Amino acid sequence: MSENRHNDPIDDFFRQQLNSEKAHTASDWNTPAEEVWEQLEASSSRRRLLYLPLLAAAILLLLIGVWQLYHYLQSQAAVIQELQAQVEELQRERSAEQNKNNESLVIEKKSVEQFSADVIEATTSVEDKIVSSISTTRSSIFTDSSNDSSILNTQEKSQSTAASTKPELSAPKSKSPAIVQSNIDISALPTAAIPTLQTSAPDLTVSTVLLPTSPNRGWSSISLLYTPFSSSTQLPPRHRRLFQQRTVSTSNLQIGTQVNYTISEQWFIETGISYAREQIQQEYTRRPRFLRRNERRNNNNRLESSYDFALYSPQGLVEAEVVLTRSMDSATPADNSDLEVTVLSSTSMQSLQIPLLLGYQYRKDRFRFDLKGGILFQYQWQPQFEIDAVTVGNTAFEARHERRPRLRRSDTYGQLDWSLYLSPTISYQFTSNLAIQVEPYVQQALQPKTLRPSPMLQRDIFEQAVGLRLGLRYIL
Amino acid sequence: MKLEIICAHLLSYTLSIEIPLNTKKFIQAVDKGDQQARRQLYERYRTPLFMVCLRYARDRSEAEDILQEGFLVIFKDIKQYRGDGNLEGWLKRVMVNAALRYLRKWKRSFVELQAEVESTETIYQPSTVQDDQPLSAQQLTKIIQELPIGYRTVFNMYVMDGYTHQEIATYLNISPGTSKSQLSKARKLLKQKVEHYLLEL
Repeated sequence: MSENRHNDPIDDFFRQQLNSEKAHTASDWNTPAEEVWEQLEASSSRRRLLYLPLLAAAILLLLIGVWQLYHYLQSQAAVIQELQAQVEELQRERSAEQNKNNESLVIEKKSVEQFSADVIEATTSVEDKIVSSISTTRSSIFTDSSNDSSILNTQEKSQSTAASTKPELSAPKSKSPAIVQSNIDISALPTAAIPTLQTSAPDLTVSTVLLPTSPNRGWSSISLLYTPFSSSTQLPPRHRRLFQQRTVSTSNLQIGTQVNYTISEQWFIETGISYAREQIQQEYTRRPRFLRRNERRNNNNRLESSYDFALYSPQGLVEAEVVLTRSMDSATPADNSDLEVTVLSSTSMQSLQIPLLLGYQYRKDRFRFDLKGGILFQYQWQPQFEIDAVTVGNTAFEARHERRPRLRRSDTYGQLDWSLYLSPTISYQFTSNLAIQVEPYVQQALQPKTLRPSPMLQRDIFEQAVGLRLGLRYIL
Repeated sequence: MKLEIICAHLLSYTLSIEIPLNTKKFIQAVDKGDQQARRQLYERYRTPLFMVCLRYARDRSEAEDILQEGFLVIFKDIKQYRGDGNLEGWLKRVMVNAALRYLRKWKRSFVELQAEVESTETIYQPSTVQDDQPLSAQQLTKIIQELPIGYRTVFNMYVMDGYTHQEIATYLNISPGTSKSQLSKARKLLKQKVEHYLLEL
């Protein structure tokens, strides 16, 4: 990226003066305060100290979860193997029975064939007998010359004789062993049962993997949580030199919905979304506090002194900037001074939270103990209002317009962060749908990111927090 | 207080002679979080780097904030220093980036900057500067600090830290033409301010 650099004499003048060895000689003005190093040292060591236990706890929890899941899957695999063995055994039994039945059927078929043959044979013999008896009768008629009625009686007799041969025929067949077996009711045989059994075996294996062992794998709920106590350490972004790290106690009311999915008997995953509105209870001060005083000469040779104040109220933060501008030029009239007041106010902090937690549960009667940990995504925002510019004095010197006080929405502060979250929760379910819970927690911010910084009201950077939530949960 | 500063200066001077701070071993020690090594690095370079911060900041408090944030970045990213160039140059680059990040984060956007330029354009007339005037580095830094944020940033980046207009445009999200015009106006304003200081003296 070459560029013809045009050097002005003023450039050389500043460069020479500020890069000279004399300029780099350590002195009061170019040596930072000792607090800078103290802050650097503290922030790096504090970060290490705070990160490590929480990170270790989260990793441990995750490892235990994975281990538990592995064992659960192993146990499921053993169950599947056992079931498969049972199915195979059942199949073997069924196939043996089928073979046996097939053999019976063959025997039965043979018996039926034999029976048919016997019947045909018997019929043939009966017919032969009848024919022979008829012929005998005929011969007797011819020889005895009896009347027609006797012929008829003989025919009736032959019919009755033929009818009486059937029981006679069945009698010897009942003595045959093949006929004994033929007494089994063929129509009642489960011909379709064998193929059904063969197809149901793989289904059983698949369903064991896909379907839960327990009918109830998870539940969702609507919760109303009240946090009477939450204490967080925060770093003021600009005034850290003055106040260092400070602790802020807040309370909030949170409403949300949760989904709890059980991955094994004890382990579960919890997620959901909730909205909270925060009330600041205690700041480092409640009275107006002088923050800093700046003096600078502005472009019009006027000395501009600005005073910053901050007031933390339960309703939010109020910050005021008073700027007094005085003329340094002896030629201008003495009344050429301005007083400008700008007041900024912010409402309560609001937030949306999405947890992604892994938990271990233990149940006894109606009590349930959860140890859950994971990541908590959080977006915080805070609408701010500005009462702008009360200007007093002669404003003719500067190109300013006198402004009347007016209230306008200034900006919305926004911060996105994700933090490690760990909580042992105790809940008591006093009806089938309603449960109360106590949830103490510890939270460590990982990478807070300010999305919309306010020009003047700068929120502190959240670092870590401990708190307690009391909740009412309606299980859907 | 004076004695403390002299001691610190002597310490940093001694350290700069006896311990080669840009060796690979030393860089590794800083990277691993060795507090002693970090302290040595801080002591050695805090003055030149704080001067960079003072030029970009509005006041001392802001400069200390920038220095702190810059050193946090240095401790985190020092492994990126390859060891082939000048360590002080690399540190200054990191500090300038930290300053720009800080300004972008907590200050007005650079779009407002242009309006500020135009409003002040008609007020000041160019004049000449005499090189032999007895203005100290502290006073010159104060003059730079009094510049509006846009003038100050462009002047520092172009004149003091050697960035090109194209690079400045990329960093500040403005056009190269705007960078040039702001530099020109910054020069005029600086001449005016230097003259004014000299008159006061």
